[in-house]
Amino acid sequence: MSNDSQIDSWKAKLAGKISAAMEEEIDAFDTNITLIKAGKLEPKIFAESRLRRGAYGQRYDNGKRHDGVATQALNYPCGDLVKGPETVWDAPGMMRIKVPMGAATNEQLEMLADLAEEYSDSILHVTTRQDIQLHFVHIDDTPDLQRRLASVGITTREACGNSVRNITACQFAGACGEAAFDVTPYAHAATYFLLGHKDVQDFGRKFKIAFSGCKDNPCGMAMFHDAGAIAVVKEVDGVKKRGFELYVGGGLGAVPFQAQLLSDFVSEEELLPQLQAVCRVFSRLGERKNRARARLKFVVKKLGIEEFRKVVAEERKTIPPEEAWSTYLGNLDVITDKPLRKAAPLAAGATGAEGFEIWRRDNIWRQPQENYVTATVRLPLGDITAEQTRALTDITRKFTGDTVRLTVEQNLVVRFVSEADLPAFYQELVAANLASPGASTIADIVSCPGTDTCKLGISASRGLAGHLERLYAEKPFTDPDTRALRIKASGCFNSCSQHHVADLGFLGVSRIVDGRRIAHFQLVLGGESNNNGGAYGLAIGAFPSKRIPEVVDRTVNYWSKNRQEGETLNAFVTRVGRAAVKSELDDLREVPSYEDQPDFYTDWGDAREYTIGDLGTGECAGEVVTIVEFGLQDAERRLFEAQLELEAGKTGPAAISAYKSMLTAAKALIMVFNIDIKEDADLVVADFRRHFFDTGRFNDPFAGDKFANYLLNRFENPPSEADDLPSAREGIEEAQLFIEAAQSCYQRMQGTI
Amino acid sequence: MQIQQASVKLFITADSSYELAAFTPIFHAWIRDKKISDQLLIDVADYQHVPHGPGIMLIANEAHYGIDSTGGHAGLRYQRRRDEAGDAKASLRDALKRAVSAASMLQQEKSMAGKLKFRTDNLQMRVLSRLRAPNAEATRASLQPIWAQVLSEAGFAGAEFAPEADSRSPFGLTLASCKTAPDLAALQAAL
Repeated sequence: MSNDSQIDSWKAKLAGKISAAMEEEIDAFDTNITLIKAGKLEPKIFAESRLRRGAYGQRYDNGKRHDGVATQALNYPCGDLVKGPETVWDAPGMMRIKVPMGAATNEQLEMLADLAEEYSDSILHVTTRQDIQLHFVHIDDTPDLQRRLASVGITTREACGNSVRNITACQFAGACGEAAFDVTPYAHAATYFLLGHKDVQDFGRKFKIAFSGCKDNPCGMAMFHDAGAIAVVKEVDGVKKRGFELYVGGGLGAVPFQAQLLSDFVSEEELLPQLQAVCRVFSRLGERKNRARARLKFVVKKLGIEEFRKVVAEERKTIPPEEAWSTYLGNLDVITDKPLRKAAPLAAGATGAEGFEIWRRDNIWRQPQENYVTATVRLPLGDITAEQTRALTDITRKFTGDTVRLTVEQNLVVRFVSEADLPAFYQELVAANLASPGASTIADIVSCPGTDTCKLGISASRGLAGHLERLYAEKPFTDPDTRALRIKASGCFNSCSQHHVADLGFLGVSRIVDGRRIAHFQLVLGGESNNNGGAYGLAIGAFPSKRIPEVVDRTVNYWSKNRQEGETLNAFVTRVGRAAVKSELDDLREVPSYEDQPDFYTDWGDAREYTIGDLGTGECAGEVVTIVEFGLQDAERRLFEAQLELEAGKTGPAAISAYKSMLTAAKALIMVFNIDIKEDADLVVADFRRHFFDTGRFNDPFAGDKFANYLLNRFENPPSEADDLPSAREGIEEAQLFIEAAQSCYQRMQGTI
Repeated sequence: MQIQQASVKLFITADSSYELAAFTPIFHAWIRDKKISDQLLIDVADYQHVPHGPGIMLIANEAHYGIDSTGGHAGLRYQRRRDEAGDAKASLRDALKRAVSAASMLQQEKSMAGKLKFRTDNLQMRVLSRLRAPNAEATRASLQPIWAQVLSEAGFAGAEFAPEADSRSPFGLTLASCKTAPDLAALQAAL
């Protein structure tokens, strides 16, 4: 046993090794645990406090789980004790750990490995926002977990909740020849300036910031953040000055928005106060009651970028100066990789172990520093074991130095590898099972947790991604253009995989066929991850989960055979139109009968039947089912027509069609109660309100009345021929979600009618 | 003396032939049928995609079970998570007992008939608490005699152990050799 066996707590063991501020915060959280256990703290208050410390909920934490046959109670030993509304105390949770700019030291990685082994399942999961997530963590363990992180300089403060989330930056920052300059110290300064700042404590929703070194590449993804800063150098009075193009109001999620340019040049001296001003405006003007409209993007949309710019400028004038605005400029080397080994070229004729050349082709990024390269360590589904993590720190200590960076594509990169070392470096990665080729190719699939662990997951995005990765490892695509495509899969509409900016994006939905529920994915085409996530795709239809590999194959083959010279998939879809692509895939929407292929009725990697159970459908109900389902299908058809109109540049008609598709879906549902409902917006909305909104029947289990309000708001402010592109896009996205909610509502009703 | 998070891994024989994915429906059925009646079985975690990783895991409130291939050697790992059975000896004995019981249950699964075998002459004990049991000589001096006694009482003789070499890893002892080792059934009966 330990020599200091009298030390029986991490708090005592780490005394003096944690900053006073961090210790105080963690102790306060620990006290909250004591208070809620004593019944002296409201669950709702405790929930927000733990979220702000990164302690998130996880699937089945309401104490229920469907076992494929029926919903069973999970009788945790804690009894009635909860850690938030309908969140059982003992239920496993997720711990999100912010890694600013994705830059982690060896010491930090080794601590994360320890924590994964002791409190989680030995897996460190890299997220699309350069966080690490640990799953199956007990809430009682979180204070010690946080203390141990604090001892290596990591805070989980504001990792979740209505706060400034992890500030991300391109993984190549400081090692990229295409960047204007290294954004790392600026992102670092913004992180620690805003962390705990009084001006960012009273948001209605979360706030995400990203830094990018250039405009073109898919690393920084500045265009879909609340604030995105892209490095630029401008000549002022004959002197080259560093600064940023500052974009605001971007976001993915249910209703995606492209960020808009707030300023084409924010000097480095002005960066922090400008961000602070934007945050203050968000805090002051952001929606509070309706969470669905509470992100900054809705403030920007409501005011318009011109007015928003004025408001921010006015706000900026009112902020008292702070020393921190400029002090960091005296220490821009705060996180600078110091190469461990002298750079040298790869020796002529040097070859590595088997697979070296393919790995080198796919995973190496040439740095501007001569004879240094950055190597991507491709992680399957973003996962790395504790043991592999320690092996990696051994490798970096030997070849490169002290840091690795996490990427938004759920990989790691090791920078400043001397080219001459590559064969030996590769050999050691092979020994650690970390040498998979195919980084940033079609085989390197990004996925959110989906139904594996997320409470909101509808379909098994990780199961799908894992299956596709295995498929493409066994039979790789060889055409370089095909290999360059990106696939991203989300388990629901929230876009945690960032499926909107994939060439082939997927989001989980479900459908009922012959009375049985089946996992599906919507196929999203037309997105672009280049140019900082420069274009968002649109859904073209839902396909059974088990058919998605065929959907990918068919789409890629259709494009390969019919594309023009150099035509990207995105450009191809725009040229031939979504209708043509949809038509090519239409037969893949069919679902075989349960008797013929029961496998279709389970999801990837899950042995349980996807259905909720037997859905009794009497003769009369059966007739209603047919009519309702027909109506919902009609709504989807109308929505698709809206997408086609948008594609043709007819933004006003597209917005109107999207609205009509919502009315059609609502009318379909109303037929359960009023088979004679007329196709009149006033009547439909009145009946929808009476039967579905006022009763809460339409409410999503997690999003509440968010989707119902999409219809009611559109009814109050109907679209017109004058609607512009952003409005039409928003209308289509909302209609998509409304129809999905209608499908879900109908599925729920089938269990209760 | 108390420890936390005692873990035992029983290695699978080299001539076993099974698909890792086949454990997914088995573990789901265990949850549905409450096969381990004194533990709350919650979920199945699928890490098949991670080479030499935790494989397919059965998540319980008190412990994790998994078909684990950490270190390149596949086996059934039992890892206590909370509510230890008592002092160090009781914890280690309980971990061994539960690992053996789960291994036996797996061997009896129809889909594993004749495909899955466990060896008992090579098993690994770990304690996943760096607070209570840092990977250091002092821990070995304390815990190895206790673990040896647990094994002796279960029917092992002449056990020799290899400690976990990487000081960053959790404390662990692998049974390197032994003069006699009971088979799985005898071990289960002894525990």
